[in-house]
Amino acid sequence: MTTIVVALAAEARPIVRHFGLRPTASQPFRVYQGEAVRLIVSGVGSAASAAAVDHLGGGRGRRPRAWINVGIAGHRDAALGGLRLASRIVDRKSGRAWYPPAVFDPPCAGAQVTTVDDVERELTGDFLYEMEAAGFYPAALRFATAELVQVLKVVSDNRVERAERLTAARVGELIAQGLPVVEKVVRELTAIATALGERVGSPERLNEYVGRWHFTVTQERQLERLLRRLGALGRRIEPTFFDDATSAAAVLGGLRQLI
Amino acid sequence: MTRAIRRIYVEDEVAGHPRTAAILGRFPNAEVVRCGRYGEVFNPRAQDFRLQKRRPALILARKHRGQVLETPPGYGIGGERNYYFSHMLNCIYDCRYCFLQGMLRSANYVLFVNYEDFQRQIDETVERVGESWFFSGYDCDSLAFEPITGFVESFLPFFAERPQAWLELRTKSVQAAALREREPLANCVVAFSFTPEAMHEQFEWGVPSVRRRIEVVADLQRRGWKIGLRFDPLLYRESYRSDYADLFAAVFDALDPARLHSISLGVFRLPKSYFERVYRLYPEEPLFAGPQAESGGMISLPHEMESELLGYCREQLGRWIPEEISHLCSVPEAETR
Ligand code: SF4
Repeated sequence: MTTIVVALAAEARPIVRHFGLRPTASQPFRVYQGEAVRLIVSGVGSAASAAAVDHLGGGRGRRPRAWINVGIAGHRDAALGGLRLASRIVDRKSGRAWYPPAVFDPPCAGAQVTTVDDVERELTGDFLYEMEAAGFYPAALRFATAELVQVLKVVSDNRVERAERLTAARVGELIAQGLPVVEKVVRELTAIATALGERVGSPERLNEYVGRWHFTVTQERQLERLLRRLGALGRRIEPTFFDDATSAAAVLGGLRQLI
Repeated sequence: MTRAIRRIYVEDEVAGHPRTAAILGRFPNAEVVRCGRYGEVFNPRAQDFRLQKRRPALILARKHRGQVLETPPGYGIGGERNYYFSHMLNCIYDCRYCFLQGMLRSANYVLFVNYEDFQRQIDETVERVGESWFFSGYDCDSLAFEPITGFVESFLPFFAERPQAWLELRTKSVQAAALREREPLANCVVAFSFTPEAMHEQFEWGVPSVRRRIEVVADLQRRGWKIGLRFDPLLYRESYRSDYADLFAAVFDALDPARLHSISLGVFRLPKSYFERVYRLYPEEPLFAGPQAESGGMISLPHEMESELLGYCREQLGRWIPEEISHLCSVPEAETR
C-alpha cells in the first residue's frame, strides 16, 4: 500500500481520478482509498502534513507501506509543470535537513526542497519552495524505512509566473500533467515495499503451530525465528511432526534439534 | 557497478577539495547534493542497508579525527605495532557474510577525500612509536574503487618514502593496474581474500571470480610484490573439505608458496548485535540459519564445527606452506571497530 499525502483538494482530484480511489472518510481528513494506493488531504503546512501522516500511520499489520508527499512548489526559474524528486529537504525555520534515499531509477530530476511557513516570494537559489515536506518526511519515517518515503513536487510558479496567480484549476492541471511520473514513483515504491514485505512476513505454518499449542509472546517469537531458519535451510516442518508434544516448550526444543 | 552511482552527496567542507572536483568529474550525470556533515545522510536510523545496496550513492566527506586507530591486541601479521585506517566506508561488492552490513546503517559509499590528514597521522604515529603496520581495507576493499578514489596511487608513493611504515592493502578486487604500473614496495603487502569457488558464487556478489583473482595475484607475485593470502572468513558447508582442498590447490598451483609474505585464517564470527541486524536483513539466507553458538558476545559456528573446519584448513595449508608464515586471525575484523 502506498499513501499519497497532498495538501490541497485541487492536488488530490486528478490523483484520485487517475488511481480510481473512493472516498472513505471526510473527517478529520479527507481520505480516498484504492486497492494499492490511498490518498489523504492534509491541508496546508508542515504541521498539517505531519498530522495527516500520523492519522494513517498507526495501522495494524507488518506489511511495509510507502509514503509520498505530492504537491506544488515554487522555483526561481524552473519551467512550470516540471517534476522533481526531493534529494534534500530543509526546514527553513529549524535548519534541519533530511536526505531521502532513492534506491530506484528516479523518473525525474532531483532537487533541494525548502519548506517554509508562508508562500515564498523571493524564490532565491536553486531550490524548490513549498510548505509541507519538512513536516511530512520525519512523520512518515516513524512508520517506514527512508527508502519508502519520497517527496515529489511539481513546479507551479516561478519569478515570472507568480504564485499569486495560481488558481485551483491550474493546480489541478499541473498535477494532472505530472501523473505519469507520480505513477512511476508509486510503482517503484510498491515494488520495494513488496520486496521488503517478503522479508518481514510470517514464516509458513506459523499460525498452525500457534493454533495448536499455547506459546507465550516470547515463545512465539522464538517459534517464528526457528521456522524461518528452518525455511532458509530448505526444511518445512509440519506441526504433525510434533504430534506427541504436550507443550510449546517441547515443540521449540524439537525444532531446535532439527537445525 | 560504479556506473550505477546516480547521486553524490558532497559535504560543504570538502566542496572545494581538489579530490572532490576530480571525482565529480568522473560522474558528469550524477546528481550532486550538498550536505553539512556526512552523518546526516549516513547515520539516520530508519534506513535499510539491503535496499540501499540496490543503488548506493557516494558521499564525499572529510574525516575529522581518528584517521589512524590502534588494532586490538593480538591482531596483526607478525608486527608489534598495528594500526588500521579507513579512507572509505562500505564496499562496491556485496558479500553476504560482510560485517559492514551489521555495523553500518547505510550502504552508501563514504569516501574521505582528505588523504593528506590520514598521511599526517601515519607520520605522527611512526614518529611516536617507530616501525608500525598500517592496515587498510577494513571498512572497505582497498583496491576495488581505485579508478575513482586514486587511493593506492596516492598512498604508495607516500609509503615508498617511509620504510618504517608497513602497509597492508586488503582486497578481493582485480583492480591492480596501480600496482602493476610501479616498482614493488618493500614495505607493502597486498593481501587477497579468498573463499572456495562454490562459496564465492553463493555469497560474494559482484566479486571477480576466484580464477581471475588467482591470475592477478600470481602476476603481482611475479612482478615482485609481497603477497598475503587471507582465508577469512572460513565458511562451513558439508563439502568444505573438498571445497578448501580445491581452493588451496588452485592457489598454490599458481603462486610460489615460498615467496608468500603471510597467510591468515579467520573463522566467520560477528558480534551479536551485528549478527542480529544482518539476520533481519537476510532472514532467508542459509548462512545465518544453520547451527550457531554465542560466546563472549560473538556469534559463530558451534565450537566443534569451528575447530574441525579450522583444523582441516590448517592441516591442508601445512602441505603447501611453512608454519611461520601462517597467522591464525583470532580477532575477527569486526572486533577491531
Ligand atoms: S569484499 Fe570485503 S568489504 Fe567488500 S563486501 Fe566483501 S567482505 Fe565486505
